[in-house]
Amino acid sequence: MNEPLHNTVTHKKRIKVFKGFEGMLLFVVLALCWQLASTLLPLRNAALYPTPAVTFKALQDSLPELLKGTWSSFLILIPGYCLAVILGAVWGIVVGSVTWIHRAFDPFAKVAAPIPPTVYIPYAIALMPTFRVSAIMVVFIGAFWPVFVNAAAGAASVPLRYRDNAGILGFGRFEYMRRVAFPAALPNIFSGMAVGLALAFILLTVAELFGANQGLGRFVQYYADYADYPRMVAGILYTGVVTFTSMALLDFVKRRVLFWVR
Amino acid sequence: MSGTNRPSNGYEKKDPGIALSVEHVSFAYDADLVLKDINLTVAEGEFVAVLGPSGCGKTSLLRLLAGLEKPGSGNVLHQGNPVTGPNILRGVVFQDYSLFPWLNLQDNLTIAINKARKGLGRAERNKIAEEYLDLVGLQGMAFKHPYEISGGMRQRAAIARSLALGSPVLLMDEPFGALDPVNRVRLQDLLLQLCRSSSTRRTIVFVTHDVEEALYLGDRVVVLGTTPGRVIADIDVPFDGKLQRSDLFQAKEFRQLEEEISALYHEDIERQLEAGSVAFGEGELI
Repeated sequence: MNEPLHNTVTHKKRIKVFKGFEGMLLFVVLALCWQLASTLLPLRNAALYPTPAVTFKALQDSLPELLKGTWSSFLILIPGYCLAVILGAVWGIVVGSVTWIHRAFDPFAKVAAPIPPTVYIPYAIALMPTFRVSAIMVVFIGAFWPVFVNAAAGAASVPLRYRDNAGILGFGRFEYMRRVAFPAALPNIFSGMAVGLALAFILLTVAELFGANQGLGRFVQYYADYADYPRMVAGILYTGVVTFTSMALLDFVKRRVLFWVR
Repeated sequence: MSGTNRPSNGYEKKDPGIALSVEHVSFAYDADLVLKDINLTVAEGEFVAVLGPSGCGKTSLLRLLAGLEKPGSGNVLHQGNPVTGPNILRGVVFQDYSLFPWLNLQDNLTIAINKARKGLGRAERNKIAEEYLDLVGLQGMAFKHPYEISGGMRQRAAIARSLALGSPVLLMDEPFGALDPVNRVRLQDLLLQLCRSSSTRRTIVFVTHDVEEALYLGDRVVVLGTTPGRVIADIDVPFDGKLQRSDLFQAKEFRQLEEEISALYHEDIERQLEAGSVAFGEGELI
């Protein structure tokens, strides 16, 4: 009777391997289509469609430049995003917890939050002394609102049981915000942070198209201007990887911090 | 409960001052009258079980005593002072959510200890938390989070927290309602044992819908009727606590009282059915 049992085990394993494989399938199919299209199709402007091999060669060649660009981009992204997360979360908790502040700030937030942050870019560049500071400001504005809105919503809807407990423990307003509203709103804050991070990348690259002399968005724009499409496509792919990695990192942190959320 | 005194009668030796009083209190949620003209006094050190079917407003009564709700009319007094909001003088244990899920048991307790005794160092607070966890049988569980432990353990921790808060008055809202029978019995005995062992008797108001539980725990049972909630009986429990749990449950007087109260229950429900206004399965969680 051992053999059938053994068989089911390997069968299960096979299914498991296949499950991991499924997710990769689309990537493989797309890569194959890319390869076939760029080599076999009689395209009119072949330079616009670099083959995978050419693109990866370009990626390899420009890796030092891309890494330098990443560093430059992150010097904008990290300060802007971190500032947005800290201020958005803190102010969101305050606005969500204190009724009169909510009444005072909410109308403004309702008007200001939906403005597409990209429209601030030209003015920020004109306003601020350097491109970097203006880009940081734009990233900040873009990431602030999603974090703020979610933090405020989370703090405003703290379940009654936590509020009851805070009352019974005799928490003052500040202690309530720090020890109850903040942790209770953390799941919302992380949702806001994910939206904010995606927006921050968009704003970063768009801002770099306007006025940067290095950075990820700038890299793509620069080689597009020179019609070096292998490098441009390499830049797009590389930016995708950087964005994905950042989002995955945020997700990892979220899982660690929100261990108590079932 | 094994062969030791029940905590009843102990307070009679002292001057039984009034801890809590509820005077002509009515309370409504929106348009629904939940409690109508409730009058109730609870003596210092007394263990009062508030018994009533679902939807009789017993949870609302407890929340009024805690200061988590304000009465529509009438007064709620604690030692003669009006209750205007929650206060650590009145600890509360809820059915299944007295702990913060993002804190481990130690931190859930040190929050309370911090409130009860200001100016302690971290190490001291942690040590006291450990002591209270030991007291309720949660040795070595200090670093567990609420989601990692069973409902029974969570309620033990909740009791430990309310004890750590040092409140002279303890309000308990069906604290064992969500537990399986075995754990429920063990926690009932633990509660009695803790009441007994402390030098100063705590005043306890314990809300339940279980007749046996009310009779077993309470020095006094206050029975509420439904729609709107009002006091339909106020019964002193005559057992002197020397009886063991099993003997008590077999005692003729105990059975009689249980039947009496059950009859009151049914009378009230039938009256409501005739009036066509009883709502089954609504109201508070059981």
